[in-house]
Amino acid sequence: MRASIGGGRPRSRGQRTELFWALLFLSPWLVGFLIFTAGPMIASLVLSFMDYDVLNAPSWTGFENYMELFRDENVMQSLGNTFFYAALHVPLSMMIALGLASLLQRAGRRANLFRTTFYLPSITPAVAVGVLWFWLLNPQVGLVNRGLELIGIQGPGWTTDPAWIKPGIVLMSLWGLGNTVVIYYAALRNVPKELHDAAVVDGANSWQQFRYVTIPQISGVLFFTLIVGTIAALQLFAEVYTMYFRGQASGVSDEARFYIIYLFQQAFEFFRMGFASAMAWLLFVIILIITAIQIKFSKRWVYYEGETG
Amino acid sequence: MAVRQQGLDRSIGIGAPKTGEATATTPSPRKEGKSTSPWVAAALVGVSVLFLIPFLWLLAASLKVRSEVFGPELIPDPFAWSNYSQVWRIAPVLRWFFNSVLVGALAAGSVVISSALVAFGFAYFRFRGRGVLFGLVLATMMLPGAVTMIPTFLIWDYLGWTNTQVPLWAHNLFGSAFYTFMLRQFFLTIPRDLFEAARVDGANYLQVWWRIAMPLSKPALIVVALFEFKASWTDLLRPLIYLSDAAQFTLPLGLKTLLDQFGAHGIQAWELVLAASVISTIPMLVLFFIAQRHFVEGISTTGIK
Amino acid sequence: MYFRRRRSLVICLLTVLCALTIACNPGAEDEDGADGSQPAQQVNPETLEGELTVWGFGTEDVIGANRIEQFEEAYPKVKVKLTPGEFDNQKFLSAAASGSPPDVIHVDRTIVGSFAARGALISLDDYIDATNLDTGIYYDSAMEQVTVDGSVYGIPQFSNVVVAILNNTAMKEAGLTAAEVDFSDWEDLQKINEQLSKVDGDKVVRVGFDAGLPGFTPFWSAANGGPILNEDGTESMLDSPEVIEAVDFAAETREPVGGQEKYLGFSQSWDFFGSSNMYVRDQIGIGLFEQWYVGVLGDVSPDVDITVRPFTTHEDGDEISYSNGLAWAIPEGAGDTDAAFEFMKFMTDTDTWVAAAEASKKDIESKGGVYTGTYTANNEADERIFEDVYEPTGDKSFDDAVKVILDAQDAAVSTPPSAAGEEVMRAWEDASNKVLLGELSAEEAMKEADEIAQRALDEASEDQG
Repeated sequence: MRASIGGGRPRSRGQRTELFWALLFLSPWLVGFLIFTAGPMIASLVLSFMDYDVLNAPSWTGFENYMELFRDENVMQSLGNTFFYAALHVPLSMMIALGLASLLQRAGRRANLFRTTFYLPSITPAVAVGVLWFWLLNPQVGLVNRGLELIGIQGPGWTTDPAWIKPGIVLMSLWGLGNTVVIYYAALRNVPKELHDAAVVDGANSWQQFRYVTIPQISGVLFFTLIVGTIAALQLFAEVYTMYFRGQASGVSDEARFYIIYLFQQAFEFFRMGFASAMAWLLFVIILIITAIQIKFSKRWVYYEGETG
Repeated sequence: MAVRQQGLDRSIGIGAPKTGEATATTPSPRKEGKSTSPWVAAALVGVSVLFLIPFLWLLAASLKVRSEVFGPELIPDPFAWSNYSQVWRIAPVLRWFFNSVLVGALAAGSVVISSALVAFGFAYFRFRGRGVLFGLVLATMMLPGAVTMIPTFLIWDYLGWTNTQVPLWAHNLFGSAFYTFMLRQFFLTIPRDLFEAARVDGANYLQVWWRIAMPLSKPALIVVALFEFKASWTDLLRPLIYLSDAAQFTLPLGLKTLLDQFGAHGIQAWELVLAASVISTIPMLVLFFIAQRHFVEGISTTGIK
Repeated sequence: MYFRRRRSLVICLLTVLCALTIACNPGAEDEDGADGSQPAQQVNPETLEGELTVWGFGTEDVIGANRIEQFEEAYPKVKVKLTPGEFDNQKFLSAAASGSPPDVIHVDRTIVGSFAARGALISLDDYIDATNLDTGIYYDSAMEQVTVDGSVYGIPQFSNVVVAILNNTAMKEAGLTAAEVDFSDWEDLQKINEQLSKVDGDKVVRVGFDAGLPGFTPFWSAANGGPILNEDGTESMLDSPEVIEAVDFAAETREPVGGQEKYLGFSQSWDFFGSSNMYVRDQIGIGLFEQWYVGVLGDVSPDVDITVRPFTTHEDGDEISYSNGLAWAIPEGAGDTDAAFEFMKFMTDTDTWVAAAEASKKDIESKGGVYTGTYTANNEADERIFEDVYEPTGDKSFDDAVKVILDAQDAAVSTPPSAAGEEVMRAWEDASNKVLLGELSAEEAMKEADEIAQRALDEASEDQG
């Protein structure tokens, strides 16, 4: 029962000692937070109420930057682009990564080789990935469309048609889901075989085993990847910037302008660090809300060892 | 206040697992030799090809002569092996390589220990405010780094460590939100009985952490080390901001410099840029190949008794 | 209890840290007197001592490496530390915020304008006077871009100018000659474009005329007699009738191949820097490019049959070009400004350039290549390089190009420096894209761009105050 959880039950001795130990364990993070994280975070919060070009002293402007957020069409458009991307990327990457991880689980002896193959794209430097995919996605000569042609599909203008820019970026992002595959794979290896055996005895087919044994067992890890995957997707930057924004004129900037790209431009190209900070804090609040919702719903499906006997 | 905190606690599942009759979990090693079904094999091969092609293109392009680099052929004709020797000559690649290894090892080593400590603190202990603190850990991931970059730079500058490699890894001594969260999830899957039993045997909490939690999480720890090594290996921004002396550069910064000098904005020697990309990828590939054996074997040798 | 006390401690610490971060801000300590040391009158290269940190310049080519060698020989006691790779704003802003910027930066002239207007660069006027540097040796269009409110803030290094490159094979096939193309007659130009364009069903086979939009929007505007900014860089003129007309026409030139999307899909597949580039493969009729692309063509496809011609204004057919490029500058707060200025002066000096060009020629010829010339932002140097160092290759395509390019340098205009150069650039770039994609009319798009640009300029001028 829940009643036995947390600080609910008074402990005769040791509550203080335990607090001391807890703080000891948490101390690296606490120290780092105080020295390296809290200051810059607060500084950016303060700067979000200021006009600051980094080169000159900041001056107070009150809520001006925040009002500007709602006046600047690019802010809302880039936010829309980012949501679109995250809504596609997060579920797709989780499903595909889980699929690949379970494939690996059954790969037997050759697993080594396949694991390395799946991980390969994650190791490729981001600078190279942008260049590489711009070429692969080319509508006329790119490998992607030439591949589609083989199976009789006329591929879209991944890098030229405004409607297909973002799906193209999602495609590129799915190529690099090696990290998630590795995490899922490690989690799958942790699922006790007895549970599967028991399920088999009960007459469960493979899908039922997967659904009722595997998924609950790895739900903690799924939860983790959902949270951090969403946060990362909403902050996508490097590859897309290399593809469409390095230097001049890609011809499609509106569709590929993601939130962090616009934030970056404001901060470092247009010298509006105050406004960029306001943008950052808006995103912070948005992510906070999304994460809170995800956590709230996670109760229904996340399972930790021992919580249900 | 307390109620709200506890609410958060419970909803993120921080509540300590019940100590009751946890399932006996003995993950018996899967039989590696079990034959693979043809469907699985076909799917694996198919997906692998999809994942390999872009890299093969990169590899092929790096071996082409300058005028053919962006041509459609997948097999270079002729093979320009000299691209590699040329990269070797024009850039201190070996130096960058060792810098990357050093920074990566320090980054990975420090983040594993510190994050595991913090994660255990969050996974095991029950105290007031834990939910809020853990929320704070997560919150630090939510603010885009672009706006905290300059204040962070000022702190390192104040400490006198700009223009050194210290800022590239030393923040890892204090744990990372990402890995703390990840390891906490793994620690939570260990039955609490095991810790309590060790406590009864007289172990203090540090010993419980080091002797029980750490060995049982070896695969996860290897994954963390691997991820962080990789993150450090491919990190461009920090080296770019903090380093100015080419002798201190890591591979990604070296690669970016080459791209500037020899790529679109430079003298258009793309073959060199691509060759350098391959050079920087290979060591990571080898490392992964070796490391993955360990995190797989890790499981079968640390079966919980 | 325990926690409450702790919490207040935490809040206290945070406040201190925050205050500390903001206080470290550079602007706050921006006293003028700090480095107001007078520039030295006559510097003796032999004895001048110093250590220079230079960002954004590398020794990847002989032209760069040789000049650094020359400098080190001439100034034996000045130590030069180069940070190669493109100049990076993030890196610079971090360093500037901490009060320790590099001594010399090598940056795009648009950035020189922004930085100068924001007080991040030192004025070079006193140094120019003290050392009797004749800034007349640099091309006017380049000098204008580094001159803010009458003060010089940068020394131009390179100057890229726009020229038209005609594919003679395609011209012949269409029964046209290079000489009869009149760039001032836009109606006729569009007809030629239609003649040269080739489409096979759904696929583009050849682009007849490539106007180079969105990158060349300011160039087209200038050719139509309408600059995008007023002379002191405070007013956006992006919505002037001349600019609108220019963008409208330039966008229309995409129509014969089926519009922007088709064009992009095709042009992104060009082997731009390779031996099967679009001129070799007959995928382009006439294209507007910066002059360095002629050099690329000479390198990778010396046999290609092209004619390089100057572009002309819409109204009266005078030659016109548009200049862009890099310059040297000294950040506010730099350590060794005397040595920094000497370095910039030396690197762009006529004799230095000529010697570097000779070294480059020797290097290329030793590898069996053909030297196609070196173009700088120094007028005098260019003249001497092409008189004394350069030898005609015997290939008409490239030999004739030299004079066209040098003339283009003289005919070039540039966008005046402004405090919001990059934001103005993104504004017209986005607007041009919208016109190209048919999302907005030229008038609507440029009106929108004008508003964005004007707001950025106004805001930036407030920053300076």
